[in-house]
Amino acid sequence: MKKFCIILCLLSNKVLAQPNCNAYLYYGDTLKYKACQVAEKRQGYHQFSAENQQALDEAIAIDPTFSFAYEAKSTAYLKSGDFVTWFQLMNKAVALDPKEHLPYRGWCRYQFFRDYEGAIADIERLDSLSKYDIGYSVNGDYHLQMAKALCYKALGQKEKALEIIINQMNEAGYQPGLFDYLHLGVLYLDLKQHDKAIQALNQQEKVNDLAENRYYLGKAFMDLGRKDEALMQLKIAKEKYEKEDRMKDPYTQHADKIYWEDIVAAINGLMQ
Amino acid sequence: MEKSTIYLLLLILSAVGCKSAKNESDRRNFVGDIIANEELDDATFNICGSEKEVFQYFNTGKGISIDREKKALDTKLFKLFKDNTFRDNGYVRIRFIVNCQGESGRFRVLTSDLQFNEIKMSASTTEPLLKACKDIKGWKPLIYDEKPRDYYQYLTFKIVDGKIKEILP
Repeated sequence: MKKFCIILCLLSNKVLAQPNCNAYLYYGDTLKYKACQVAEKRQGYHQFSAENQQALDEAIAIDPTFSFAYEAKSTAYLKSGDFVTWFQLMNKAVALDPKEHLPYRGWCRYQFFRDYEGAIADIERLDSLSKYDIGYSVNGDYHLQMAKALCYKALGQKEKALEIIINQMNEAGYQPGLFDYLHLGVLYLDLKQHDKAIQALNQQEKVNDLAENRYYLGKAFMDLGRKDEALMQLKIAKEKYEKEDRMKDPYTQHADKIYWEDIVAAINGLMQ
Repeated sequence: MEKSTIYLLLLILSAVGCKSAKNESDRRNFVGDIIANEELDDATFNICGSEKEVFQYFNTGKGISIDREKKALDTKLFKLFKDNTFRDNGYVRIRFIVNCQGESGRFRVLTSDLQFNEIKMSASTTEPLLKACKDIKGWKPLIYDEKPRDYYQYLTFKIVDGKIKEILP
């Protein structure tokens, strides 16, 4: 059992940071300080374990307004597919501290449930509450404005998605994320703006060269009748896919992700 | 710092201080554990390892592990239900165990409306989805430490206007 616990701890790749309990003390909130200290008892236990959940329950019993504990409890339910309990816990966390917990709830509504309208509502509410940058998805893959754009795209509002992405990429000091140019390129491709699609996908190659950007570049060249260039890009996509240089996530499937059979079908289509 | 380096650091940090459960005889207190029930479960389905050591599908970081990847699974299921109009809208989650031989069993259903409130759906909605999940072949065992492992997997169907819109995760 001990070995299994170690394995699970090793394989848990999301670590929700414990708040600094002393900060509550500094601000004179001794109840939250006590709750926070009790919540620390869960450290070292797998987030699915009874010990982890019990420590958080004890923290909530001490201070029912300790919002961190609700979000920390929710993660195991999210990952086990129990969306009912997850959402109940996250609703409590958000009600207590919206600015702190809307980023997680909004992102997860998109990533795990493709609840596009719900994710947009959470991100827009967060934006209305924030004076500063609204930040990134919990896995670090996307700025939340980019996540919002992906939601609008999924709802069929491609022009609006494009506008959000361009505005975000033009923000002073914004560093493009791991997949930003890829999604931008695919959007342009969907909108039949091939030159801009190729430009964006070439930019993606410089940031994070994946099977996906090569595949969509191949598709752009195919649309333009540039067969040799298309075939070259699709063959690179195939090589990259085999080397696992592709979009991957332990829990879910990325938007615009491609699969082995997509590449094979595109190559076969060109060879006919 | 590269994302992969950060990821590795997180893994190492999360392992530090990993304690064994205080009550080692009862791992069934892990969130989402499915206890065998002879009234519900196929008596021929067995897990290979200990009840206390069933992994989660994401534990090795590779996501859903099935022949021809998730795309082929999605294509098959969307095609199967193309002409169905379900009576209910919402989320239907079907969770189960894949054993070390790639066999599935111990299926459990959870249903909610589109706002994640638990609701009871009609059998005409849940039963065909449950049967489809039971019929899926090609699950791959999760490999850890060069050994095939039992693990929990789930599929969630998002139904809007009576049609399947998404198959998750």
